[in-house]
Amino acid sequence: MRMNHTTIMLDCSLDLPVLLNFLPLPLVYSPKLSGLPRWQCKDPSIAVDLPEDIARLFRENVGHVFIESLPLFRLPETGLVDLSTVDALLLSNCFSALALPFLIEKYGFSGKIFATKPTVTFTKQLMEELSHYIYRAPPTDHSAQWKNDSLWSSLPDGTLKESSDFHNWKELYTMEGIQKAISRIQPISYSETIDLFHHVKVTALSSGFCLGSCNWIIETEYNKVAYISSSSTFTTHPCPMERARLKSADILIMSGLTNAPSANPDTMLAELCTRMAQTLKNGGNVLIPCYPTGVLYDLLECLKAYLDSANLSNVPVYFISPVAKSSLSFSNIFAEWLCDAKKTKVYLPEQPFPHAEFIKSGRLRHFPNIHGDLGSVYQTPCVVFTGHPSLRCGDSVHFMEAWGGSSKNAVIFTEPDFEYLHALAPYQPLHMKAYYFPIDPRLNFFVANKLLNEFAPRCLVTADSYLPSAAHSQKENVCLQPEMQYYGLTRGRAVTIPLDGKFQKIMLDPELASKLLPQEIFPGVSVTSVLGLLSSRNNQHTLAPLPPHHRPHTVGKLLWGELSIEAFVQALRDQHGIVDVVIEGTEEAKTLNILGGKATVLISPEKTTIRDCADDKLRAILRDLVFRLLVQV
Amino acid sequence: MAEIRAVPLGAGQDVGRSCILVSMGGKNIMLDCGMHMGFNDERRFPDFSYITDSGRSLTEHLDCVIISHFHLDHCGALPYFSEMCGYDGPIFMTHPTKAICPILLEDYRKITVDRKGEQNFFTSQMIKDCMKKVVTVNLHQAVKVDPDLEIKAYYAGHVLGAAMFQVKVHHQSIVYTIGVCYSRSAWIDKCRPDLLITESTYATTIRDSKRCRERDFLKKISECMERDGKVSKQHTSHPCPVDSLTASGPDPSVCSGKSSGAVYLTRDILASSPHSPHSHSYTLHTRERMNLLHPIYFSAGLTEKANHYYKLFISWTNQNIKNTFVQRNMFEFKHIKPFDRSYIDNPGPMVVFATPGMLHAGLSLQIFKKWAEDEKNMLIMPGYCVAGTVGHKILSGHKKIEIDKKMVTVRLSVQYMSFSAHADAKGIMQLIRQADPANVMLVHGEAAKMDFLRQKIMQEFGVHCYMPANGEMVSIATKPMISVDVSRSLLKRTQEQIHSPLAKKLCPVRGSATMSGLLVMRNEVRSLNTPEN
Repeated sequence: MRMNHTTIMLDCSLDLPVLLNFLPLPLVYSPKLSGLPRWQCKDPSIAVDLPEDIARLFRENVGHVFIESLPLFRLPETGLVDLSTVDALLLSNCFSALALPFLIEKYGFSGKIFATKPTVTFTKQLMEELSHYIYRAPPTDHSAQWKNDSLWSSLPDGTLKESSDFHNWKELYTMEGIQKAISRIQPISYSETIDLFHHVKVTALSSGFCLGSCNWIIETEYNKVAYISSSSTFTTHPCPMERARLKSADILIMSGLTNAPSANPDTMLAELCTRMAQTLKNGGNVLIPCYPTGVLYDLLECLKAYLDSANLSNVPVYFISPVAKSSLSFSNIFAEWLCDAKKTKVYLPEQPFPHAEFIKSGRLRHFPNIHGDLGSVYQTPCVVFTGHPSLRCGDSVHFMEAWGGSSKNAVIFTEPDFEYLHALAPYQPLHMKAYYFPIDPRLNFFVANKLLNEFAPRCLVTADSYLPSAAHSQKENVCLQPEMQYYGLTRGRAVTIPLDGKFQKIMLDPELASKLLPQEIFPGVSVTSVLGLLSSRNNQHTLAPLPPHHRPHTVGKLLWGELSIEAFVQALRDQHGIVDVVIEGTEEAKTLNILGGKATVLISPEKTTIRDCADDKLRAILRDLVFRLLVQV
Repeated sequence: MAEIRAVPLGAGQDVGRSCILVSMGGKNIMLDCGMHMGFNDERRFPDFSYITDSGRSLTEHLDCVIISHFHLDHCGALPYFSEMCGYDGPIFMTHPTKAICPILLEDYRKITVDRKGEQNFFTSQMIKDCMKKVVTVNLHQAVKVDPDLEIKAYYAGHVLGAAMFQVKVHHQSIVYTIGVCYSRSAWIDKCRPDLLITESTYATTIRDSKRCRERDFLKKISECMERDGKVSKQHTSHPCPVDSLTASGPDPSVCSGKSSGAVYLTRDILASSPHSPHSHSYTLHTRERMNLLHPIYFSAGLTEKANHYYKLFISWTNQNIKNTFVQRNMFEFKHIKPFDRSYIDNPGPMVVFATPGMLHAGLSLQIFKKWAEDEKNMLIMPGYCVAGTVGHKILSGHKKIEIDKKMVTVRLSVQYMSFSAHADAKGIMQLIRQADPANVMLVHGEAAKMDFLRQKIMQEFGVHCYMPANGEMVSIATKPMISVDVSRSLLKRTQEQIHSPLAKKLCPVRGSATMSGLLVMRNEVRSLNTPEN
């Protein structure tokens, strides 16, 4: 967004669903995954030209084609602006910041970066987990050879073929890149106002989605832009969404609506608990592929209560992630970013999340990976939370392979970011049960529409896909129904929105101000002319008194008002005894002939001119009279 | 011309019962509401009749109350003020302050009412009701108390949750900096307030580095222990690292030895500073070298609870503690045991950390009475003591002290060692340089030392510096800038002159230009335009 000479980037996410196009990365050699049938190019004309070793990099299962290579990642659009000229980057939550190291390492991003303290912490954890998962397996040497246009065009129709920008997919960053990126972020608080070069001010407001998640207000002295990112009106663990300050913005940018608009999180959670209990009671294990932070905390809290009530309190729960320990620990020290019920717990003093208690009792155990201490305590049936939710890397790959063969076990998907049938495709045929209970507390269209009415912005900017189209039957729960002017966004295209930019702020020095004597020209309106010394520093302007002895001759007093001819003639007669005044001219402009041609005064609404006057004394009389009858400011 | 008025109701040329009234732009703000440790009569609380004598109630007069940190000399009068004097407006403090403050108030109430048997004091319920009026603030959060009054907290570092506050009303602003432990993390913008109100407890001190102080501290303890080597061996089975205790460093503590060669040491762990980067590993290391293997005790209850808060509010401590807490929580003391009153007469050397640090009541005083008369023992006073307290008398070298109508002869060795995280003279000067105020006001210190610092500030920064006594008003004229809308065309036209070849001729001041326009004032809107427009 470019506004008032400042270029601001709002979030920088990675397109993670792209991961689904790659073959899962097992920790050790997997006969099953490596034994998937090779994809056969159906187009004979291309098949002939293709080098054998490239075609071999694609495998096919149940109608999906997978690339057998180190997964690559799709970045935000980089061609639209020179990223090194961006002044500031605002990060709304830990899930929308994962492309940051790319910006810094590959695109010379040098602007300021702002995020709340929890966002900084959890962004780092998410990046570390992902990087760890991608790079822990032995490296494959054929990383990018599959980037072949003709081959791509012959792929079967489906998600993979549609990703035409595969040439720009990039290899993930390493720990070093993460460290460098994280250290650049300036941590901030909610409601802390940050001044960007005195051009714009930005403020983070709680968005209610996860720990430290926020929406942003970006404002100048005269205009206000509200940026709504992933937000939630559900009562979960974080601080509730702050709504008051989002109202009456000139522009409202709305993004990050739920990916599962038709699923109610509470219903899904109840279903999840039921299925989980059912599986456990039948002696099966439950795998929940998840991110190491966010909804997980609510899931753990819910799970604990449910297991107790379902008489399953002896079932162990394992949370396996390289950042498991720090995620659980950090969540308990961000009290001021939590909802009131949790916030007040620390005053007692108690840990805000019950998972601390869950761990203490030995029922929830966390491990950095599967090959360490887990083995010594592992018992079944059990519940395992582990990443990655795409089932393409991390320990979820291992559990899918280990548990997939038994119909007693179950995998329950809660992240709607990944299409679950696609996620399961490389593991087919599976005997294990698969459930999809998306828990996404972000705004759905129904709530978003209500909020739009509540916030009443002058205009709305949002993704094209959220807006009404022929495909949506104009119902309020399938798309946004803005009642104000709106602009749709698609990747790679800019929209221009006019803003009123007539004025700027200037500070009047008190010494200068004290010498001004405004005169009332209409009731409630006073004017005065101002002469001062302008200095502009850091985009701040001040007007100070002129230095002594410096009076520019070019400027004088200004006159205000309408000269009344009757009053002028009367004053000439009464004060100076001049009666010989002949009035000529039209309604608009009059000419006063004084003393038979000694002087002429032209009076029009715009100006008054004294002409043809050789007598200096008379001229002075006429001039002073005009001054007296008008307001000098 | 507008003005800002400030009156200390407490802490004017004194330490104790901090309470400063500030009036600016039609708003009245009270900074801190503390008790005085040196008094047990009505002088222990600020004199609120200063406000009520005007005929207005406290709630009518005051727009808000701001509490800088949880020490009782800054918040000890709150329940009295809100529940007994009837203040019903908002009270602002940080989260950790809100968490710990009621515990200290309850402890203070217990000592005063239950042990000393005083009547007409605030009750436990009043403390609870008072805390309901508290609004918490986050660091750097700009809190709008009302449309015109804005407050903002900055990290101060003195104790957990301690904050500096900036108060803004239109274009006037003040900064209140009590409990600032000057370090890289305790910073403030160059916000150029009209008035900066700062403490001056250590006005004339420039302290050694924290590390030196800690080494010194351990050396003193181990020397005291060595005076009775034969007993110490018995205790080698429970090695007790002093580690994080000393590492976390600041306020008061008392250390003394015992007839059998024990060392006891009291300190207000509550007062410990949340930041002390590397010292803990260092101290641990030192402990091993010095063979400090005797039992170490904490006064139980209060201190334990307080430590729990440190664990939950670890994000308010310094970055290093925070970064390592997942692996090793600095505030989990494995080897330090809670102290029981019955241990007072145990044989063998020991170290006891006990509160309160000024020895005016409680466990520290009780232990002192028992151990004072043996010269083998040692008392380490870790911080400032208010006049009138037993701690102050000890530090002033009194050899005979009357406690509870009994004379106690002080034979044990007394060491003074400042762990307090109050700003010293250097810190105060740095803070002033950072904030760049137009005026400075000193409170929370002794008159003579204050005057020294005052001269220094005026000399170095060329600003007015005040040190009012309690009830004495400081009035500062401010020149607020007036904000006006200027049309972009006029601004641009004028700015072009600056870069034009004729710039020198047009305006004598380099980098500036003469602007001529017409100011139009319509209702509250002021706009500066070209006359044609």
